[in-house]
Amino acid sequence: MNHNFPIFLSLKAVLTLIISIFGAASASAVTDLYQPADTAIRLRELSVIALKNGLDLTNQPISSTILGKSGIEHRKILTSRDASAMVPNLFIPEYGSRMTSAIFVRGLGSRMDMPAMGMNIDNIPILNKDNYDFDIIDINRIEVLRGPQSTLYGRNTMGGLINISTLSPLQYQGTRFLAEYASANSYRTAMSHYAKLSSTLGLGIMGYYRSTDGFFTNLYNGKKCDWEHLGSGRIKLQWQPSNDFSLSNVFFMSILHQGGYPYEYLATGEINYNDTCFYRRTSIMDGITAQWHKTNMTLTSITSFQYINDNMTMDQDFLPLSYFTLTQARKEYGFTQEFVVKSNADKDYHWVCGAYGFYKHYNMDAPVTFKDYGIEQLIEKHRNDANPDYPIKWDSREFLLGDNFRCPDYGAAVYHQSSYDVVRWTFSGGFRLDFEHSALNYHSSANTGFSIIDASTGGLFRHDDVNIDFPGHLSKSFFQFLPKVSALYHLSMPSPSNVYLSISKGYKSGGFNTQMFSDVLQERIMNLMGLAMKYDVDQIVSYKPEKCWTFEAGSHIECYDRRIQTDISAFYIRCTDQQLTVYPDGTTTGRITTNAGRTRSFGAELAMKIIPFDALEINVSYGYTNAKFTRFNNGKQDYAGNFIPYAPQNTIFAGANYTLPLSAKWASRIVISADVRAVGDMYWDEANTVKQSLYALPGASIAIEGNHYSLSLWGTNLSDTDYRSFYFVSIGNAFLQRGKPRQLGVTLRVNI
Amino acid sequence: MKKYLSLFFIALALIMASCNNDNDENYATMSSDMINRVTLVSTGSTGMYAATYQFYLDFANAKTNITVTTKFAAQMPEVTFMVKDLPLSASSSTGYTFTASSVTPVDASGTAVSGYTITNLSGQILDGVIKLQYTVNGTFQVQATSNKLAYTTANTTVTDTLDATKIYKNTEMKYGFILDAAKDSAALYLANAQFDANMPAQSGMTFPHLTVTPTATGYTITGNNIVPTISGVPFKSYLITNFLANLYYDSDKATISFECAGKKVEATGYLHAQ
Repeated sequence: MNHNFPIFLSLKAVLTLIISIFGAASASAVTDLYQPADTAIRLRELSVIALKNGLDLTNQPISSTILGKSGIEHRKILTSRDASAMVPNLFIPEYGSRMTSAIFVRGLGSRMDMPAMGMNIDNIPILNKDNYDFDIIDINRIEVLRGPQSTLYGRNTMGGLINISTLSPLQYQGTRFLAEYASANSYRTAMSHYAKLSSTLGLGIMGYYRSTDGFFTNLYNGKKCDWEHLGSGRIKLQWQPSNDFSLSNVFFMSILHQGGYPYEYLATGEINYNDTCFYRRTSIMDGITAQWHKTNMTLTSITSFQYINDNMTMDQDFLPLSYFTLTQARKEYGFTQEFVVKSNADKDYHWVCGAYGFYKHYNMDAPVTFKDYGIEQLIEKHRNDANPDYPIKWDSREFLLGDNFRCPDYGAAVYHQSSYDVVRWTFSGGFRLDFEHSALNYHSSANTGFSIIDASTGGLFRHDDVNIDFPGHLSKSFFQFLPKVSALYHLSMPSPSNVYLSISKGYKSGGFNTQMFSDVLQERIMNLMGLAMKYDVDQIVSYKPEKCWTFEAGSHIECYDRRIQTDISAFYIRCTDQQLTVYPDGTTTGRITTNAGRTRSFGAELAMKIIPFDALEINVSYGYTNAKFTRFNNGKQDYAGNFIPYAPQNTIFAGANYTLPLSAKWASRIVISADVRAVGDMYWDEANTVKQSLYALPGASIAIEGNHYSLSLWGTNLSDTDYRSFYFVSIGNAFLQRGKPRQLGVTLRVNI
Repeated sequence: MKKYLSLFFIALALIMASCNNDNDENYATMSSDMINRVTLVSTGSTGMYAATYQFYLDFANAKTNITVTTKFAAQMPEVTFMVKDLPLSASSSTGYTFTASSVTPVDASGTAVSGYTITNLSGQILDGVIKLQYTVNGTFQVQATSNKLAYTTANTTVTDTLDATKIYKNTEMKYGFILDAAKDSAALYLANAQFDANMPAQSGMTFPHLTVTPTATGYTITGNNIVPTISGVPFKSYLITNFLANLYYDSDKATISFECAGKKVEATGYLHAQ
């Protein structure tokens, strides 16, 4: 039964008249755009979300956003950042390179080190946040769970979880081709083939390449600095010999080389730096999911292997001055193993339990090269201002501070969740016992020297060698108990609808901030010249786990035969030892992660999907977060009562897709889409002195589609809004990352 | 000079290790360069003389032998003697005391040293700090301390000489005095020197060429227009004026004051944690 709202009838009539020029067919034709994203829920998949949370997320006491294949393709979503625009209170800004996946959700997040949100790709739990950002082709479904998911998913899911599933060769067969060209000489191409090798065995192979010249010019050399070349491949093998057993193996590999770091110096408004910056990454992942279905339970084993080999080299001062450069060359590998047992029986009581373990290890060389201006300003001037009668002169105008780190990290957890249905109520309770041990073996070194001059004579007073050989070992263990309770009430409505309350604890693990070692070494050099070393290595490099309690109330409402779907939630979060990235005082650089004390965050979220008639779909989402420090005094300033930096107070998305059926042989429909994404206000620093006001980025596209192809013209940031997506301070200088300008492009998809 | 402060703590560690009767060993030996502050009983005048004290601590039998090499007056020759079998008591988990009302010192062969009688001897080794006092022949009252005194617990107040309302307090600064009895001089090693919140803390600052004078209660150390050194490099910008320190034997306390770069620094330090 169709519900055609009166307000839309006149609009529909006008559009029908226009389209009649092109020979439109019946307006009642259902387009695949209308297919609700959660249709995929009904298909049996090996998704870890389905395993632990159930097939229908809208029937769970969780704030969730679900994106289906059609919507993903129409909005050209290839990364979690692309998807985040539609998710209330989720902010993943463009920042630096693909290594820095800074995720902020409901006031929680971090620029570096441990993430606030977890990510699974085809059941592989990505262990390192530096590996979050890469393009994924043929995404079948994206689920974003907001709120602590630590009970079922463990470490670093304090703010939520992003789950990405790619096409299954057992459910989809065919050949797909993508070609896209856009502004800044940006192009993408992809080809994939999915086939059933037998009735029980499916194979999917995908290859992808992307290149862009970049948008922003480095004035120093006149070249674009944010260029990128990315290639990736995926092989997915699925075997289901019977209804009782399934096996899936997914192999990913990606190779990235990019310039990155289009940082504008606030004082001049220029992107202008003289030293080389780039980021290179080779990433390999393989995940095996095996599932056995018994009468009363399902046993699933998920095994993964992950490898990263990357190199980040950058001009640390981002100025046309030779201060110093940093390289981080790392090789990391990791293993995960999880066993999940879930009850199958359709009874009032159902449960899921599991065990999880992981091991990862990285070896990283991170040398800092001090250069002429850096030696002059950060060392010689600092020292000679204190003693002009006996000034120093460094032996050479460039020297190396060497750092090597080895970091083994392992953990284990067990968890359980029970749910009980009583009439219209579902009560759930669960817990997780999570243990993690992390160690850092470091070795810092420097071999250089300086001369002390007697200013009264101009002669040499003394020469001092600087020979630093600084090995050490740090280790920490963390143990967490992570409970969750919830109550959900199923409303008496034609379509599944409910209201819920939940209380849960989240956890972001602690660790070591290796970027601080260049500062520690610098201070050791100053100490050799008589100036005290300010930092205790363990105190500055180590940071504690961050914990939060989230209290949430929400509702999933479907009405009018699911033509209006509404998700509403309100939350209150209390966080202790929140991990924040701050800058050390004085003319040092790099960042440190400290535990800020206490913060609190409250807000609300609204997401609606409205399908007034078959051809029109409207999506809106709004998130509001008020996140402030309740206790944070860094010894020099008290930030209590200030807004938490990098946490936007508002996230807004509004988009509409209108499908106009065609009767031509070569084209079956035209899809017109328009949307606007808005973020802000947000503060960039703890002192709340620098702010990005709310900005809006409108986009639109028009696509002509046939049975096997889609050709679309599209634009993003059509208003060419000038905005800044990130801010930081280095050596006392403030920098901003510019947001991307207007982009226009054309995309061709062919599915055979 | 910078090495001396580290030597303080090495010495403390050695002393603590050797005096720690949680070890399996039943004895410990130690040697310490010390200074005798000698008061002539008849006149009350004081002098100071370098001395070496060697301790043999017999924990099994709760006794100690002390060998002393020193002189008690400028015109006297240096003498070496030993006082034996002094009762040794544990005063706390980190210290020992020893006393003797009267003891005849002996030489290395065990023969009594002619002309010397030691009375009213009392001493302690506490937290690695050694001090003892005794009377020689009823004539000389001797109070012996290490020639390196580390006041590791200190409260420092720095006042701006031009604006008395600008006050900076510091509990991280530590004061180590090295006394040279032969030259009547002393040096101060100031660790974590910082006279202002915005001043970069100096890992170590040495005030050389101070003058030390023995008093009835301990020592007075003075100096003016002292150019301190940091890592051996003179820092004229930190010229020290009106330096005055009083070191008190009985209370193990020191009071220190000086001016530097427009700041008046006043501190009270202790040899032991308070």
